[in-house]
Amino acid sequence: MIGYVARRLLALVPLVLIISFLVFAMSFLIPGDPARTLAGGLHAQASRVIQVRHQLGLDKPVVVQYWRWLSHALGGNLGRSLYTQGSVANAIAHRFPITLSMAIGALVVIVLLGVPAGIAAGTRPGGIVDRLVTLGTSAAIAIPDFWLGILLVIVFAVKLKALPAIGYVSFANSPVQWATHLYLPWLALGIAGAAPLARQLRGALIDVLEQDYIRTAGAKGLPPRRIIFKHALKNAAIAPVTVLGIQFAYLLGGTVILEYIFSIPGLGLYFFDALTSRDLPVLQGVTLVIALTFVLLNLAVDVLYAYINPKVRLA
Amino acid sequence: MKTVSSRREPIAPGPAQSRGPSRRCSRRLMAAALAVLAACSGSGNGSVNTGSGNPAGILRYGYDFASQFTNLDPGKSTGDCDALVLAPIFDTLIRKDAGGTLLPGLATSWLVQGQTLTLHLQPGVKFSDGEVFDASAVKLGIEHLEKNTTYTDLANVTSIDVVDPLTVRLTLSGTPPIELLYSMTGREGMIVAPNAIATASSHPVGAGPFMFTSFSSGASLSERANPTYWAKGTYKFGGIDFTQVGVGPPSVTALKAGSVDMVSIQPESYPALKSDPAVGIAVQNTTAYLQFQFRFTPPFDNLDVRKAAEDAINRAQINQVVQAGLGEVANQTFFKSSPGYNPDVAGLYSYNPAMAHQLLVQSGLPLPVRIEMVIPGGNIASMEDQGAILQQNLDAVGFSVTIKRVLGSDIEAGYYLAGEGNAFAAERPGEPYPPVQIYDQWGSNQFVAIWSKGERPDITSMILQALDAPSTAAAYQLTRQTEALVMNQALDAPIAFAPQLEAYSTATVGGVVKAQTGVCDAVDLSGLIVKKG
Repeated sequence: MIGYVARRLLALVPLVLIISFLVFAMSFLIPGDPARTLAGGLHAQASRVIQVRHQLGLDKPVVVQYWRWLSHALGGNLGRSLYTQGSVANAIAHRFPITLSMAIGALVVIVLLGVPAGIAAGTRPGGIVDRLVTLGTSAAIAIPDFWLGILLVIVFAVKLKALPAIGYVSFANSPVQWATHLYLPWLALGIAGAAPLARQLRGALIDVLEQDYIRTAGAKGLPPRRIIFKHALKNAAIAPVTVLGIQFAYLLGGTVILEYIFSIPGLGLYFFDALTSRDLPVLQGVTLVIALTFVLLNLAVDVLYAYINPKVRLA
Repeated sequence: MKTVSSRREPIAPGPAQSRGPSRRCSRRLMAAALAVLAACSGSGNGSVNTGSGNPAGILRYGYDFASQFTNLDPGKSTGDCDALVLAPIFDTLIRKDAGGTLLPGLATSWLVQGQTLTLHLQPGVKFSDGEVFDASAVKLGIEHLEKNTTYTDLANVTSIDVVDPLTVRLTLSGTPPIELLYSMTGREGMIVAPNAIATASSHPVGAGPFMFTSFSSGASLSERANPTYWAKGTYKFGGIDFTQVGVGPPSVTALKAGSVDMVSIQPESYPALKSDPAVGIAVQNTTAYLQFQFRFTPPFDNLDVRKAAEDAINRAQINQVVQAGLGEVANQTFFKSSPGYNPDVAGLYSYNPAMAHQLLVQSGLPLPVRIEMVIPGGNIASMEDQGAILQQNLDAVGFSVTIKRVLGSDIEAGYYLAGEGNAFAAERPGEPYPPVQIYDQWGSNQFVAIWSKGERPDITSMILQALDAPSTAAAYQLTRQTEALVMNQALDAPIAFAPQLEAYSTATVGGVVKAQTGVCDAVDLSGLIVKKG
């Protein structure tokens, strides 16, 4: 197992380099000129634009710019925001835990809702529970998470005044307030995310429960609960684990609209604002971090596969 | 000429100025998509609300740090809308009222003589850290601000001299000092305490009515009453907590849920709030306006075609649909109470489809006259509505309009530099000083004028005279004359002035509540009371 993980980690090095180059190169495709903006926008004098461009190093060849950026990035220095002048690495370090808080909490909701629903539906296919789960998951997939988020705000914050509508409190400041401010985002993200998990688990369980070894286990007199949880669920877990991995990656990179609705200063909003303002160092830094997170998550999922199914290690 | 605009102005990308990559515009992209979902009812408006205030009360103000904020140090700030949260800390050397008239701030008076600007400072002022606010401090503060590359008016300052402890003289090259005076009503007039210059990004110290207490990046900023403030008693509450609230639906829900006491809202949110007795709304006219901007190439190099467009536009309908009827319908570049307003040209164009069609026929161009109209993309509801009505209006008289959507962040590169489209329909951010409102679009060497082929030597000459005029009265007179030229030549098709709206909880906020006088202007909180603890 250790050898397998080591091989995968080594394989990541060229991948990360390629990603870093693509991240750097793609940010130059965004239209507009940050130097002009920083020199005063539409009214900037041409000489001042040239001066600012030089100060930012944007007049150097792209390869030179990339090398400088990469060498700094390897040392943990992702540069400074063109507009706020703040350290990008510090901002990411500040905001990543916030987005991670949203993602982990949502993942818990996904598991808490998706796994029982998938098991309940998969073990009684065609039954009333299965139909209800199918109906519920269809609705959950159809409802956009931002719509659900707004609905939850209106009900729980505006009407009932039971939970805060906006804001974020760090766990260190107050664990209770932290959770109170995140219940609604967790629910909004989690309900939508639980549906694909429940469906995948249902389908996988139905397949596994038709296998010979399950029939044998039943013939041996094992109780259904033990058959499901001890024998069937582990083998049915491959596809749902993949879904969970994808969901988690999505949650880390795709919470921007909910961060906007709930006024949560996470990584998504930081990236979105950088995108609209052509803040290249921020774009490059955040994209790199998210890409690395995706890569590491994929690795984690693969390792989990290998744990669940030892044949994967040999392959 | 005027510069300040940088990246984070909060309204739709305007044609005449760099909205930079307008961030609030991008938020409006999301806001537009969410708006219909966020409609939770509401009511009554008004800017005066009775009740007793708590001198220690804290105002929770909704502010979009994510899209509007850049830096606590005005010397490093790159966003106009930083002014909203920085003005209470620093105050400004000069202030201005809603009509654009300059008023004393930390400078009690000023004198413009040729290329020099002499500022006379308020006596007895101290920064909140106890340092004396005097001419030396102002000199250091301006030198600090000059390092900011986005301040192009300050870039024209060639020397700063301390005349006496309360007098500073600035010498400029290039543009006349009047523009700098207007810039000094914002971030370019915010003086950082000398001992705090090095640390102002993390702990700003100024001479404003409130002082910095804490900041959480992207989330909140707390300011508390400055006990050393020179104009004691002006503010009747104990502090401000600026809280992250996104533009659009989140601001409405945050207010209705009681998460904030006061927040700036978009006109599209007005119908959802106007009937809510728990919410008050203050409305303020501004110099920004909805605009159909011509590119002076065929077919709009033809005066009859431009006049036809002027007569084809149903301005009242657009104002009603896009701004809930809250704006002043425009018949020229200045609203009625502006000193630049010229009554002689007020009746030149009105909604008259028959006349518009006749003018189009008279132009000699084959009908339909095909035009491509650029509007800000990203599904911004107000811009989509305006674009649709304009298309309908223009098509009805003989134009054939196709709409091209360009994202706010790409308008500079797309519409102006790349020359996409024949016209641009958006919201133009206004300029507080009337001559500049005109000069921006048709003056020599102005970005918009150059790229829309609109440079006019006659306008350049008249406005430069206005900017150099010995008195503001003379400047305004020249501006009115120039405005007559602008409208007679149908160089601009203003539609309606864009109001600023401030919504507040009537349970927690009272007194005289005012809205912003411009999209990034600080709110005047001096008459406001906070009813809670």
